[in-house]
Amino acid sequence: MAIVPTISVSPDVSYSHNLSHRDGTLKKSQWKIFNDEELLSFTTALKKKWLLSDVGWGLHFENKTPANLGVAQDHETLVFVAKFVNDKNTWHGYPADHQRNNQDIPPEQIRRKWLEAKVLPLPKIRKLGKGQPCSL
Amino acid sequence: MQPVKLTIFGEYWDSQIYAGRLYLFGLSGDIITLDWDKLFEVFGIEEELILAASAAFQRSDLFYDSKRELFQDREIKQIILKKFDQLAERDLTIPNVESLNPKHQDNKFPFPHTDSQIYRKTLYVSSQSGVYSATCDKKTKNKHPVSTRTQKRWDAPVVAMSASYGCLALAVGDEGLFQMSLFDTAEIENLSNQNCIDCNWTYYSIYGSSHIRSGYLAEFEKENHFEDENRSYERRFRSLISEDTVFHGSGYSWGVHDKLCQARNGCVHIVRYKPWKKPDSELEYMGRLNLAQWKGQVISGKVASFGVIIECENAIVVLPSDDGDAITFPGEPVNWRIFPRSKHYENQLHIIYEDRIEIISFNHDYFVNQELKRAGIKVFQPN
Repeated sequence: MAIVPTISVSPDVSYSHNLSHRDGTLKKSQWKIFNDEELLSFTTALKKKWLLSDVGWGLHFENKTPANLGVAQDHETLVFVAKFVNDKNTWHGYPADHQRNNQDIPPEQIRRKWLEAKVLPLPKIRKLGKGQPCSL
Repeated sequence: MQPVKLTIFGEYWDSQIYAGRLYLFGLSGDIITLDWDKLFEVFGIEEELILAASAAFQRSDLFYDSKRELFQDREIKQIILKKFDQLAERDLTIPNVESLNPKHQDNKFPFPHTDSQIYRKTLYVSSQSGVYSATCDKKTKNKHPVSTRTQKRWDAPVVAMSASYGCLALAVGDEGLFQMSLFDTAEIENLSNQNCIDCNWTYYSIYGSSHIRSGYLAEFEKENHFEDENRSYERRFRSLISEDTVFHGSGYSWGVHDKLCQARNGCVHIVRYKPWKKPDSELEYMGRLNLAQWKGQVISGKVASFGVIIECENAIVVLPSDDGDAITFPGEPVNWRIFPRSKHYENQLHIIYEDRIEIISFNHDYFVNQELKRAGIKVFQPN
């Protein structure tokens, strides 16, 4: 079994890539961006305070515009929101499937920050919150 | 007949209209309340169009309640049609909502919320943190149009809701479909564990919609009780009827009142629901209507008296009740809403875009045979 290194992001924040979200594991969403882009998505979320106590949400940007970062649990539907989870002080993340899992829907505090920062168009913010199909 | 449109510029998240007030949820975390009846004074609508304007925006029941013999007179019908057409050509735009002296108050509900509903003078708002309510009774002398005392009713992550029969139907995503009694016991009942992202009332039953799994009808039976000259009723859950049983195929489906709809392979199939005709003839297939491909995937759907409304990726489409051409509103809206339970505003479609709200009034349904129409819920017309 491959050993996944823990990356120190800051003195008290570490990140680790979860291989089951890259190796085609059934019923797990899959990253389609590179490891370093996944890490950048996390560090951006950290910097912009999109992380709550043990969970957080992130976006992947290309040319300063949100872009798709993976596929949902069906391994087909493109998704553009990442969810990050803190497990014993080490964070890991996966592409969020907001249609299938309530816990993958960014809560109103996060969606409000995205709304105020205008990082996503308002219709997308509405569809994410309602678990509706949503593509960029 | 083309619809009549009123535009209010500004940045909004959601809208509600109830008892002469228009409520706008602003993007900066406020609720803006407008006196809806006074709003029309700013347009200086000429006297000969006041009747049409009243029917279009303030009293949708005006012509439904009229004697039908009047509308069978061809000359009278042509006069009324002409009035609506003339009104549709008027520019009804409010460039700045502040010119209407609205009332502003802080929005005490979670924001941005997932859905809202006004029922029996109470505003309900749903969000990931639960369902909240506050009274909005015009007759009380509150400083604020919406009471600042919000009450948390439930703590589940609700994505959509609909009120009727003293209950809130609640779509809770992967947790399924629930029903909350609003009076008496305030109990919450889980009707299905299957994914549900939207819910609407079909008479006294509830239709749950899903993109991930099949939609379904949570069918209830209603029993009337008569005791000491008092009439009451009891609703009892019977069973779940799958989308496949209704439509003999899978797609995205929804149902309101007497019409169940399913979008599948570029068409919208319509089934009439008559729960009083059991067991074999409660579902009657009424045909299908086409959806143009460029409009993209179907996101959600509703049914109003004036037609079937479908939100696609790239547009909102109205399939009108008079079987006329589809009316398309291009673009991806921030939000949209209809008011099928409303006595005075059931002909309105609200569409919120990034810089404005469009309040669109459809008035063709007054001239449609309510028994025979396919696209649109049947309006009860007293004899």
